[in-house]
Amino acid sequence: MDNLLQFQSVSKSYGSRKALNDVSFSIGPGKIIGLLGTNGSGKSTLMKITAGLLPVYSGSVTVAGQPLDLNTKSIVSFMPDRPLTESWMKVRDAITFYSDFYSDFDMAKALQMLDFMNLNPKDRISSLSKGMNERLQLTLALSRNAKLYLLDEPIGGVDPVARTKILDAIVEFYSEDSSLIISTHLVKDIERIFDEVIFIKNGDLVLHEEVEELRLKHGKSVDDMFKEVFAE
Amino acid sequence: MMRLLKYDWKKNSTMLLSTAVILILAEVGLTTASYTRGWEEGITIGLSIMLYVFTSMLAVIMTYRTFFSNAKSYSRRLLPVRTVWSVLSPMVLGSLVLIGLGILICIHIGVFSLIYGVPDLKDISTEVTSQLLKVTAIFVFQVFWAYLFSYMAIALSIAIALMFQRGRVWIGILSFIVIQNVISWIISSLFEVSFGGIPFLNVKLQSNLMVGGEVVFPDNIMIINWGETLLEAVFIVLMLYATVLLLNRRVEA
Repeated sequence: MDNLLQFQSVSKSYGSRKALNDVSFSIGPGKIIGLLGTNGSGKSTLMKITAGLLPVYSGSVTVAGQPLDLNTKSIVSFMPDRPLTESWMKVRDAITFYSDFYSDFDMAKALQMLDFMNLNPKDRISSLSKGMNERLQLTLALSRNAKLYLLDEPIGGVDPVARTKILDAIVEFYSEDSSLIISTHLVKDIERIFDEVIFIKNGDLVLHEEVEELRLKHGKSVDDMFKEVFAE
Repeated sequence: MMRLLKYDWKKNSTMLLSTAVILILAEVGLTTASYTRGWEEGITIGLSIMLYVFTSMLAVIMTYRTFFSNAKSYSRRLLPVRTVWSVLSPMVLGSLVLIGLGILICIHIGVFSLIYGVPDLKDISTEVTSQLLKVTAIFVFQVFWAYLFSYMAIALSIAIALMFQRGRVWIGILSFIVIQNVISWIISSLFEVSFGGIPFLNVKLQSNLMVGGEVVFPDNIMIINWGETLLEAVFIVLMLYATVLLLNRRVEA
């Protein structure tokens, strides 16, 4: 099966600080992958490189066999740690913005997700709470029929109710032909939906394994393994 | 680019429309006060011009700010749209706003003429009208040209500044000064620059234009230096290319 995402010897530095160090891995289609690591381990950097937001790095990255360019932007849907919306927008403006620029945007799915997330199209984005804003960002990212979804800390900083709602939405609206990478350090809340996990520690990839294999081989849950690997 | 333009307009529409309303109210107030209190025409014209210049400066600054915020914004950087259109979209928006301002000025001149009889639009002969149109066209072209150059120089300066994590403001200012001076020096050393040596105002004024009295337009009142204009066009394209290259290869969101 062809790889959907391939990293080959990718390194990235911010000044003297290494964010990624010779990272190589590949991901096939139809998987939900947990990208796990502590704060500052390099998860966001890896996602931003894949999304095309960080053009300066060494090594090679391909999405669906293509090097990162304009075409890969149209098949990768990224929910970053910063809002994808602009302060002047209402919820409906954000939906129209996405619909105008992404040919794979599914308006019916977006409206269904807005309803599921209890979001009102007439609401100003600047008046949304953090939890509601996270729901909107997720709606925008998942309403596209992309090949690869990247969700950077989708449940970080939201209350347990919003967290459950967001996880339910991911499972409900995620297209099974695509792959989805979710970065988080809140492993316990989310590990139930992962097919594979990638552990990143100080910019190094320290583990990439299927969740079932990890449980069989080590006899531990993802959360236990996470605590073991990242213990200080 | 039309879709980008649509969202650049939406992003700035509240500010632009409110500024337009304030400008119209201020100009109406000024003209009314001037008429009812019998102010001198020169004072009214001077104050009106100041308001228009101030508004056009606001519009131009809006385009720079829009470019800057778009260059940093995730929502724009992630779009599957060629970077060149993202660079040009705020510039086109600014041009449209300046055109709108120009239309407003024309309407104001018409209203002023009806109230004060100056300029006397009925008495302007066909010959004078054709010269007036020529002078106006050259003036509009010069304003657009200077705006286009300044926009590209500032866009490139912003792109250079965004390559760095620290000291962006100072790097941007320094870049703009260097770009401006290097290009001005090259143009000045190759061409005889008019208007006190300011490039991008590349016309020669052949005669003084009188305001308020009898207007006499000699032939060739203004001549565009096309060689200089062509070189400037090359610099504008080079700055656009460099800006796109930096945004694609060096600037990180």
